[in-house]
Amino acid sequence: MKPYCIYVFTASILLLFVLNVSSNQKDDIVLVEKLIELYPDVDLSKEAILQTEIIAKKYSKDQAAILSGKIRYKINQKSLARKSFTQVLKNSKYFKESILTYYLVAVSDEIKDGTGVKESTEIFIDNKLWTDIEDRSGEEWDLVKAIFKSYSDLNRNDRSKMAHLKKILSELDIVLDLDGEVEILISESEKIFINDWKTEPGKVEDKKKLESLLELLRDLEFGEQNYEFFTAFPNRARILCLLGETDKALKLLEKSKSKVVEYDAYLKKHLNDQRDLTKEERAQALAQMSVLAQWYYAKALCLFQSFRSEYKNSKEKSGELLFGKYGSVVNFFLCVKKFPENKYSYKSILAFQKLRELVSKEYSKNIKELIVPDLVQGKAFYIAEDYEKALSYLAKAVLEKDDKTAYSAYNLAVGAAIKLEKFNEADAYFKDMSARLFKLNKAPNDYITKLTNFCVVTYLKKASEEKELSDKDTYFKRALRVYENAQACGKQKSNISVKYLFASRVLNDLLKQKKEKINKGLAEFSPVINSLLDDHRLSKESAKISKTLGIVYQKTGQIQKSIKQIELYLERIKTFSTKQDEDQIKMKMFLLEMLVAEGELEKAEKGLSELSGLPSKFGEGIVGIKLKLLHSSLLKSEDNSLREEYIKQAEKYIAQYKDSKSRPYVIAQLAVIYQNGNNSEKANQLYGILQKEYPEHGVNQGTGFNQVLALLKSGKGVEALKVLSSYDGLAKMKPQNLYAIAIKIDESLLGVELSEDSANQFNTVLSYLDESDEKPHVIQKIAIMKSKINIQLGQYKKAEKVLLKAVEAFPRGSYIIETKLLLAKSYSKQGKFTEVSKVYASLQSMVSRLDGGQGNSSLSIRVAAECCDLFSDAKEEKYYKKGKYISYLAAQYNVSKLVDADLPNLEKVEYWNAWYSHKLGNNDFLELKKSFLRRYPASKYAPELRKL
Amino acid sequence: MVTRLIMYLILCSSLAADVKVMTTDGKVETGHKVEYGAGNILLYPKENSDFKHRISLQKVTAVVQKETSSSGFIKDAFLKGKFAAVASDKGLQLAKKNFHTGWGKKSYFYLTMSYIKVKKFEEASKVLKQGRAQIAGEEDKEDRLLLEIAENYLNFSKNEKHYKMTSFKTMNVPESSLGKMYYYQLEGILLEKQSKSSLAVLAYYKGIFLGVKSREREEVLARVEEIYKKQGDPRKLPNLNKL
Repeated sequence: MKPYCIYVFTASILLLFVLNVSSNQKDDIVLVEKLIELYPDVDLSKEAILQTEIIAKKYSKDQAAILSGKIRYKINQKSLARKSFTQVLKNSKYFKESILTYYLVAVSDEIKDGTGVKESTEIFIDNKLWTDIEDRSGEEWDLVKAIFKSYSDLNRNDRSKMAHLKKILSELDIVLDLDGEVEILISESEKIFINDWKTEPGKVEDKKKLESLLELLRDLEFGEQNYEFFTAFPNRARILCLLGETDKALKLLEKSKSKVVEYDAYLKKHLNDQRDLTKEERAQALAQMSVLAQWYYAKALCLFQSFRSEYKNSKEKSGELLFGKYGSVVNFFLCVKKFPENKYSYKSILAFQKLRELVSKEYSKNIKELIVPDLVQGKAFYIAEDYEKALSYLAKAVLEKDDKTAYSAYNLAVGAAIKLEKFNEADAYFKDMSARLFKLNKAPNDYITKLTNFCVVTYLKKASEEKELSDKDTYFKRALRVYENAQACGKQKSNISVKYLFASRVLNDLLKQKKEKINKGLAEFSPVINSLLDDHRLSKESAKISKTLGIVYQKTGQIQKSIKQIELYLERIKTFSTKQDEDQIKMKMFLLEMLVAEGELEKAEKGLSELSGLPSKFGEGIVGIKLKLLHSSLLKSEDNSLREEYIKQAEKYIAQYKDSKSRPYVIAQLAVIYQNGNNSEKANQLYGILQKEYPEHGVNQGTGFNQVLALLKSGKGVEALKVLSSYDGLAKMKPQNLYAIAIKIDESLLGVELSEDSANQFNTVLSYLDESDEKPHVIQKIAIMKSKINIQLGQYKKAEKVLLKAVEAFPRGSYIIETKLLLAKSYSKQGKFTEVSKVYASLQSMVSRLDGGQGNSSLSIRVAAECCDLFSDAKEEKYYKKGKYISYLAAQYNVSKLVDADLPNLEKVEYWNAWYSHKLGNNDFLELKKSFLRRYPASKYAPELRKL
Repeated sequence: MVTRLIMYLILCSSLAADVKVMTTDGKVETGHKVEYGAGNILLYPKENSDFKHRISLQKVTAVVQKETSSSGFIKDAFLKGKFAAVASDKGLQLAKKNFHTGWGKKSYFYLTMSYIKVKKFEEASKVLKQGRAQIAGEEDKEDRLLLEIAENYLNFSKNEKHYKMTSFKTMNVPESSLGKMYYYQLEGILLEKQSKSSLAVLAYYKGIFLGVKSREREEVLARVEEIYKKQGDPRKLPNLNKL
């Protein structure tokens, strides 16, 4: 069972007891709100849930359900939250509160639960929960409106639901805004309209959508008389026309004409009152906003549709509809002539031209051509997204003498060329434009600035999409050229944003590259960046770019430059915002880290003091920097108090920030500090954490000391030896540390057959320990380790020399027995058996004097076991006798006096006892052999003995 | 707008007055100082003025006085956790000084609680008695509750084993944050004694979130942490500023 379950279980039992304590409902509810307010900084959700259970028992289950819904949403258990809210029954007095709370929480920015919003709005509308709200100006009514809006947004495609909503809204006299979706929907369907004029009318793709839209627009008729109300007429006509109900559409248009004309007159009057507009601007605005233009366009389309259906019945009659006195063509023409700047007039131009061709082809009649300027024609094609044709007209318009016309034409020409991916052409247009017309580049029609943005963004996007380096380069160069061309048109303020956009895109792109590439890129784009930094030093963009530049420098390893840029950023950005935002704090922390890395500790310390009192989410970062600072100061001074402070802080950090990225580094650093302080237990503990929690991390894999320790910890002595012998800092290592490591390696190599390489490696490591310490045990231990290796390598003379030196220097050292045993071994290998027996005698006398003269049986039998086989290589009988003597004496030991660890030694001794008997031809051999095999049938010596 | 501003100024000026005497006919008399005579209240309208209103005590429904420096001292010291300073002769004198100002009852609460905190139970019950003597009428409901909490606290602290829950159970939850702090703290302690630690935690949180911001909240928080530790709950709570 999880601890959480136990908690809830015990708590629910306890609930039975607490109910008779006096209580305060308000306090109980406020507590829940307070407890979840802190989430996720402090997780008190368990307590909050328990408190809701208490509320359910004490007061009302429904109230508890609302609170529980809130908690579940907060802790991201969305489906449970929904369940909680909906479990309040309709007849409960908390029902309305529950649904309103449900909606409010689900729709909030923090939660944003679409399913929840949908469910709550549906329940709200199905149960007519707005009926008892009397105050129509209060907050509650605003909430009701918001619910209606969410409902309409979510159910726009459901016709019946929308119809229901419309009915409610009209009853309540509420108007919801309809967005520009209408126009998009209709135009999308109209696209195929004129091009494929022979297709059956009424066959449109999104019929359902259009029908629901028609429903919506029809309801507007009873609403407020605003722009939406008037445009609904031509829009409805267009939809009806698309659906094939042309007669209805035409009737509607006839009925609404007077209203639309009235609206245009009102619009004209309104514009005339606006005194700050010039006459031209007024005319332009009127043309752009006219509903009548839309009306003409809709009428023309409807007539055209009638023509289509009539065409099959009678060609002549239908001709009247197409190009008669009140035909479609005339209406298109009127739209173009009366409202030249209106977007429907551009559409009409193309439609007119198409119909003109149609008339001449089907009826062999010539309609007078519509004479429109190239710019307008080009724009018409541009709006219809026929860029090829648009460009052909615009190319002519560009050559106009009138600057304003040319300026607009250039703008569209560059756009069209880019859309067609004719980049060379686009660049050429842009160059001409900026050379000739930069004077005109003023707000609001500052096309050059806008185009620079557009082109640079396009090129940089292209560059990032390309895979080949050379292709990437060409796009980069193109972008640079655009910028250069734009620069030629002066140093207007608007250029800052262009430069910034360009520079930031370039720098962000560079950040993904390799180091050399970054340096090359920086050199190439430095004019732009420098101009932004120097020419516009007061702009926010300049500050921002210094930040990005700082990050780029940091990546290339130019820390000093990076520090300079980040400092510049922090200084300049101050003038734009008095309050530190998140980005600034992060950059400050970034700067501090670099300062610490560069050893500018005083500066870093000063900066760190400025960062105190920040929100908790920065706590980890700040503590991390503090640690780094402490560590750096510690490395400089080795002050004891600093060391303690560091250990304290680091331990805290390791315990507190378990998910932190820098935690493994801190652990490694702290381990080294412990190691240096001779607290290897703690260090090992930390290396254990590293091994366990970050097995793949670079700290483990890295070269050097840490890795050696980590390897040793995992019992890989040979590998540790390999790493240690190739460690650069071996000579600089403190002798005591190296000694400790050597001992660890020696221990881990126990019983391992060393290869020659490993033996040599160990030798190299040990060679650094020569005159390291004057403590006898250290020297003796080193001698032991060295001689072991020497013996293994067959260098017995060398081993003897080392060991003799150690014995002579410290005859009573703590490793003397170990040393003498090895000495005996090296003598034996050299055939100096007399020396071996001498060493044995001295060892035996030493052992027998131990433990207050009683002698140490364990040690004694060990010595015997180590020495008895040393005579086996001798060829003279007297040495066999010596061996027999040693093994015989040891074999007589009382087993009850020995501990388990001594038994292998006893076994060995007994074997050699039998062996020497055999060599010497003694009578007792068979008996010894029999008894040995009986006692140790599975012994490793048994096969040998059986052969004898 | 202007009228609203004027109203506000009038309100401020009446608040700035040191003493307000409310009478049975609904009037509010304001003044600088008040003195209690035999069956009368003497209200001095200005500082150092010889002129004084004489209001019959029968007519008076309430006397509200601005917090005096002496009662302010006791309060500050208490909330900062300087119980020894409050539980002293000086504290008692200051509390006595506030006997008639309407602040006396609260001062006696602080005094009683401080004596309990420094474990001088006899003095505490003596002081509690004196404080109780000041309470008369329905208007003092909140003060009465405060002293009731102090009494329960005292009975519990004196003899934990034989403390009877019944008196605590019948008590209402106070409205003031000061009362809430100690009410819920006591509830928490009692629940903890009955080994209902999960519920005790909730009571402690109520004290922390709804109670007055005093030094004692730290102690309460430490208790919560201890309970977590006992339950094997690895959560560590942040410092009070975040709660």
